[in-house]
Amino acid sequence: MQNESQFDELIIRFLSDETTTEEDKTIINWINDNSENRAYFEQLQSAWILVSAREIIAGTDVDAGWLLLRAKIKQEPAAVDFYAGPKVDGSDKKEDEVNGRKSSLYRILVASVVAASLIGIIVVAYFWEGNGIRNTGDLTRDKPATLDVLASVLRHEENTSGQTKQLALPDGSTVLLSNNSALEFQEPFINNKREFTLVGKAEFAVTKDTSKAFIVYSDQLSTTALGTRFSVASYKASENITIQLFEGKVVIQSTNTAAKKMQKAYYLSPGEELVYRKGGITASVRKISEKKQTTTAPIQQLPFDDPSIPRTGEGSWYMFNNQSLPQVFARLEKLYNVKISFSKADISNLYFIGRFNNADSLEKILREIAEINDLKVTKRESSFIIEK
Amino acid sequence: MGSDLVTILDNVPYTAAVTIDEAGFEDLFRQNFAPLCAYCEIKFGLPAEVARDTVQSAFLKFWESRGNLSSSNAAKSYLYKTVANSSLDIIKHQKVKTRKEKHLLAVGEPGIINDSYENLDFKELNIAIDAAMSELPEQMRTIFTLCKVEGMKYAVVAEALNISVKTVETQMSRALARMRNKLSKYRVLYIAFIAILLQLKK
Repeated sequence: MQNESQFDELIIRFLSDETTTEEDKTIINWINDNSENRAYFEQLQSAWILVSAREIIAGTDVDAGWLLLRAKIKQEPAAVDFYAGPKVDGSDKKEDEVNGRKSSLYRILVASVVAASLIGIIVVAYFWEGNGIRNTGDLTRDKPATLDVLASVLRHEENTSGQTKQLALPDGSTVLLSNNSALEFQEPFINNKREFTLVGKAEFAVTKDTSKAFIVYSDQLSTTALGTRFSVASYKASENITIQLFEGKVVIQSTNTAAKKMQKAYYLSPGEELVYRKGGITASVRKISEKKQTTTAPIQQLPFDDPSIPRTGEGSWYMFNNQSLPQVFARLEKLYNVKISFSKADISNLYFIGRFNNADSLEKILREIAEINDLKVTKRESSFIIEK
Repeated sequence: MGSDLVTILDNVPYTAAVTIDEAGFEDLFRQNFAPLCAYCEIKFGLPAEVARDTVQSAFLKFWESRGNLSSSNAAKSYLYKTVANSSLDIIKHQKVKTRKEKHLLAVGEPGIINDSYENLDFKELNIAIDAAMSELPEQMRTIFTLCKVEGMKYAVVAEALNISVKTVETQMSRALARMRNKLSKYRVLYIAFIAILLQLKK
């Protein structure tokens, strides 16, 4: 047994990955020399492994794992397209294929596009400079809106007020949108997901809804949460994307699976932040320092001539993406809280793709849509009537 | 790999097939996710993230082929087997660098039954390890915690505690000897993990 004690330290170093290749050979020869040696080693290794297993188990975030798995199960069919990044060229085509009413729609489409341009519209393929931002075409593709459903608009909130702006979301979640930041999402949410595209910084207080994942896309990253409070800072002018978690759990993934960088999901615990270097090769997780834990962004530090959001000067807007006019009107009714009357028969075959600003009056919008579709708008006291 | 799966399914009695609903699946996941991650990481030396992904995929696969298994035990075996097969696949194709060559213990014998590990009561094990560690002398426990639990290198720990690397080694080796005695009832575990060393000798 003298033999053993002599090898004790070599064994422990072997198990700790502290041995040289030479030493590895020595110890393996010793283990294989006789069954007594082997049994002794196995006992030590067994204890070592048990402790390792215990540590790994304690450090494994089962909740986050379940969240991720659940998301995978639910979005199976859409998953590939969803993370594949921008496909600007393909999106128009897809719209047409899906609608399958290409020819009849074409005229209306063209007409609407013309109409759209009159009020400063961007057509279907709208992207923030193409950097890993999702394809809105894909999102609407899986579930073509039906007439019964209120039209979902792409809502764009832009904040250049100099102050943090609070937004209330349809699900009860709240967003603190920092200055020089913009947030986009479908309203109401579609495809059973709460998805947002962020440029700049925002803090999210998420209402728990286990049936709808809450996903924030920021440049090359996506952050997924269920019932939590976190912030995402993704300024164009900054080298980094910083995601801070205050409560709950989030899973952060690269939006571009083809990219070598950050192929794995990252899990944050409360009080941690992930700093992702856009130009680097890694992301690091660290404790949030007290100084940084404020919710107001240090926006002022950004150079004025390098704003974090595109300087469109357009402010916030809504965008319809090829929805039927009944849907569009129903949506506008809600947004402006004004009654819009129409005969379904008159307009059910008409579709609208286009964007309008928050500042535009409802009358202006309705007249633009009407003009291009040969419709007549009549303004009443607190309502509008649309007719052929 | 496919053939292994078929083998498992063949061995399962179909008579009592039960369908697993999402709640049942979540239970299965919550009970086995972390132990499977540990198994994958330790036995195959895969990095933590790769291990996690491998285990996730196994659960996904299970979910897709659910309804073919008769009991939760079969489900567990299926998961372990799938994780083992995928891990070996990853190692063989060198999709990832394993932490160290010597962890390639298991190459060759994916079929080794891991009953001992699968059936461990991890809550009980947790308590046993805590108890064993609390009985270590203070400095020994500190060193053991830093090296083993925090994964720090001996040299780093030595510098941090202002002691020699040799002292760290000695303390570690004594700590492990004590842990071994306290955890001796779990010793059967080694069967699952030892195969690698035999391979290395070649």
